[in-house]
Amino acid sequence: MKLVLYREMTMNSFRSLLAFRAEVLLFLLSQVFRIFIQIYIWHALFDGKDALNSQAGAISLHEMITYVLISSVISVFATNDVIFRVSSKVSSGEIAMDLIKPMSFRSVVFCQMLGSNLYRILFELVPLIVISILFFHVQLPSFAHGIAFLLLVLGGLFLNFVITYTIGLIAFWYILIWQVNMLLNGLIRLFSGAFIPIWFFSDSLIQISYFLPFRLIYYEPISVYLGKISSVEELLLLFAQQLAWIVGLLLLQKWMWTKAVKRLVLQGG
Amino acid sequence: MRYLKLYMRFIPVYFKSKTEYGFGFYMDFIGFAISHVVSYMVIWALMSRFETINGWNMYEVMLIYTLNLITFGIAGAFFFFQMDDVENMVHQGNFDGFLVKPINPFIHMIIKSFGHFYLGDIVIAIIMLAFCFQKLGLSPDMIAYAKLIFVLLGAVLVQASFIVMTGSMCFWLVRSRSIMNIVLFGMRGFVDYPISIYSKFIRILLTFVIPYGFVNFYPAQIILDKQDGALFAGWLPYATPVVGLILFMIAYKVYMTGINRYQGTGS
Repeated sequence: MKLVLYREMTMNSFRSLLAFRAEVLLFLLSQVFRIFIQIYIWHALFDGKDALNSQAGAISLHEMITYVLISSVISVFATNDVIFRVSSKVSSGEIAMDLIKPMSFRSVVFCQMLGSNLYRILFELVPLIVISILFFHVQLPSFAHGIAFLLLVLGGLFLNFVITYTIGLIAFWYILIWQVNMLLNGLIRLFSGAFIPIWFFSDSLIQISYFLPFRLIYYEPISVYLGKISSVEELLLLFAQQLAWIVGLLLLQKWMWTKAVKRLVLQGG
Repeated sequence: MRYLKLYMRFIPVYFKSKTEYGFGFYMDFIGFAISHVVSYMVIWALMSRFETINGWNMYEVMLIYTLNLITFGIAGAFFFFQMDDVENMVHQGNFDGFLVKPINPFIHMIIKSFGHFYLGDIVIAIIMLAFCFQKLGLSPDMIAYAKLIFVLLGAVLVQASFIVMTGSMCFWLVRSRSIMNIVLFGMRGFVDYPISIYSKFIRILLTFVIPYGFVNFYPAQIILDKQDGALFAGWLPYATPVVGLILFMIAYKVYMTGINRYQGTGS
């Protein structure tokens, strides 16, 4: 019963996006540009050498190219507009319509994000994977690593949603939300390993990144994919960290929500 | 002269309407500043590990990034939001009102508003430019400064041309936002790092077809007096102002042709 509700909510968001096919093509093109640029940068940085030393042992150029491609695949899902969705719902008053729906506001936002992600799987992820395999001969992980990688990515994406949703709730107090969004994007760009793998960081940067949740979205899953992390204990530790961040943020978010709804004053109607 | 007088009337009005928002107006700058600070930190994190990329050290790479930032900031202040306005007007079908005014529609577009967002970028870029110059031990004399300004003007024209050309696509396609995005924020990404890292094919593309190389790479060669990274002809960097002028003339033509095509979306 409830599931039908979720499915409808998801499909609605999916259908509304189908209207913008040209945008998708251009988005895909800009992704390909980004991949190209990053691969050339790593080529230049490797400077003809086959492998470089790092915190995670020797890294080959081929591994680095795989890293870039996997990172851009993850970014297809990890770039969501949850923050803007929440804040525009608050400022436009659309939130009133969501509050009377027979599901929690968080679920509404989550399903809408899922819908647009579904759409991205079809029109962005599939072409990206085809490009990766055909042109860059991306290396495939072993079965066990592949499964662990997928689970970690799912966990990471849920963590990403919870982070953005929690920050989106700030919109109830503070209308100028896009600066906060910029700050978050900046932190992710630097400390998630989306562009520079943390294994190339200096010690002080590594320490900062370990206090932040962002590496659990990009860097750690990709490390698992590449087989840099393989012991069961390490894997369990990663899952535990993801879980701890998710639970912590959900608690924070619940507390914020009770405060936020009390503040909500809607005009007209 | 007349245009300048008009500008002096338009701009204070524009700023008054923006500063009405007070706090929010200043917070806008903070938002942009954050993203640039992060970009510099990314360069720092990368270059402190690798030291050089194709023979360019950290401060040289920062200089490359800064030149891109400052020239886009200046060009953006005069063209970006203005072209965005044009797109909106075309989309909504009230661009007609723009055409009946007794003023050149290209100049009208420029003086109608001002991209105050970019002032923050320009300030950051100037600070970083001074920082890079100091770290690189560059102390240009008067002639070198004159040369620098001349070359950077060309680079600004290149940036402006791309904004105008991509923005003008709205006359053909009604919406031009995604084309602007892909060129101005996608393709321009190719010059975030020295273009000497790319294959010869891409370098030729970035020099002769989509000449973004003249935005920062070639000016940086002049500033740093770098010969080893020289591509094609040694005098090529000095062609920057000419490239800028030619490109700007093409952009003007594209805009004017677009206006003649404008039919109104009807409403």
